[in-house]
Amino acid sequence: MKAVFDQNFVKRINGPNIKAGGSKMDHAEMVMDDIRQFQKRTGVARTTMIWCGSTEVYHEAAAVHATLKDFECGLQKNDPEISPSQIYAYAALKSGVAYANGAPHLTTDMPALMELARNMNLPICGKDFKSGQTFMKTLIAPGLKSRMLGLNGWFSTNILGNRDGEVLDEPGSFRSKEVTKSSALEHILQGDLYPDLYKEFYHKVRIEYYPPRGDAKEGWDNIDIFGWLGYPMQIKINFLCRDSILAAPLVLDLVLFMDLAQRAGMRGIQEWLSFYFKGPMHAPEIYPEHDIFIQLMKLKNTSAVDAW
Amino acid sequence: MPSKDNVQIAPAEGKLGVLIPGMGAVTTTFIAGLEAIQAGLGKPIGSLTQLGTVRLGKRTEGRSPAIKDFVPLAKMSDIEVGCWDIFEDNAYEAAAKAGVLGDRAARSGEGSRCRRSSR
Repeated sequence: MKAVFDQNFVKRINGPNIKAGGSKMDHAEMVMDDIRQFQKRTGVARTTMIWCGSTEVYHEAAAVHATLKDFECGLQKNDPEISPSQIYAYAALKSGVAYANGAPHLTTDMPALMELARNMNLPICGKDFKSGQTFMKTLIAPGLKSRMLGLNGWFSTNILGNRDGEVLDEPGSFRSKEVTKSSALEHILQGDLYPDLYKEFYHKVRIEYYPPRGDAKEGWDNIDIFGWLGYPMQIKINFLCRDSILAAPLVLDLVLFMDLAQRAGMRGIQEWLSFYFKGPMHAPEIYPEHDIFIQLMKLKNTSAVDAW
Repeated sequence: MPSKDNVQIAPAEGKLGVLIPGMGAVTTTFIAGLEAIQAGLGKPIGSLTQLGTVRLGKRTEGRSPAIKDFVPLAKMSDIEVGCWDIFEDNAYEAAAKAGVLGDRAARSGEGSRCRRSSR
């Protein structure tokens, strides 16, 4: 199907198969029409949507994202703060379709679309699949913390050469990624609770686009830790992974769980699906859970309670 | 938070539509995997819903059913995929360009599911 595309939000790629002309509201209506056609053609009983496209440039919620009314007005007026992913999510939710965000950019994590999800009694979740380096990070950090070992610094760098890498080579898109990749350690290590161990560690995250590797990305982590009496030690992780081989099963699990959530009448942010995300969406009054073992426990508890 | 007293779950009857903006490496690897797994060419490694278990009761009770048997999830075989993308390639062409999968696995994405969800 022809895509909604806006070069202002994804600068490094461009393609011919896009919806032409009209306002952003027209595009949203075209997506809603695509959804109806798909449902008719395939005879599906239920539908869920999951973003697996490129990372859009970093931007924060603006006035147009404050309420559903503002947002709909912005769609009609072609507000430049409304991105293609937000148009898809709006069209999905208006069509009774749950929405999961596999990328780090701003989509349903804003008041207007949360309001729409609540009104439509639909689940939403996100954001940014936790597939590679951050997956490793959220495995290792809880272990260090469980033994009360300190952290001086964590340097993470990646090389990858797929379309994701190409898009992330642009600073605006990288900024979206940097934000979701950076927050995990602080939340897991809780420097306020453990000032002797985690008050001041240096965390740096880099992504380098390197075409020869394609999808076979490589992550390096250098972790500077300290133990008894402050003696320093180092851990090096070299993860030779395959980005999409790690991400595909997350897509499968998420669509099945989002369908379950929808059938169970669970609306709004699905925090129990934090397990799958680098930047888990969460209620404003609580912090996101990044520790993968706690995330797994929440996931199993919720799905098992559902099943009773 | 749901509790066992207040959750009513509609059964997973009929097919489940999965709509995906962006048909690049991740999407085509997902689609080809659905077909390959059903054709017996591979296993759903990395999927908690397909391979995970959930322990019920105390450890001494020895009850650990598979999540997919215990939780009323849709079946992989009931999934129908539709995609939007800025390029006009079909799922196989997109998978070939993404270069994640070998030709045999990528071609499994040419099956009926993807023809029906042609763009």
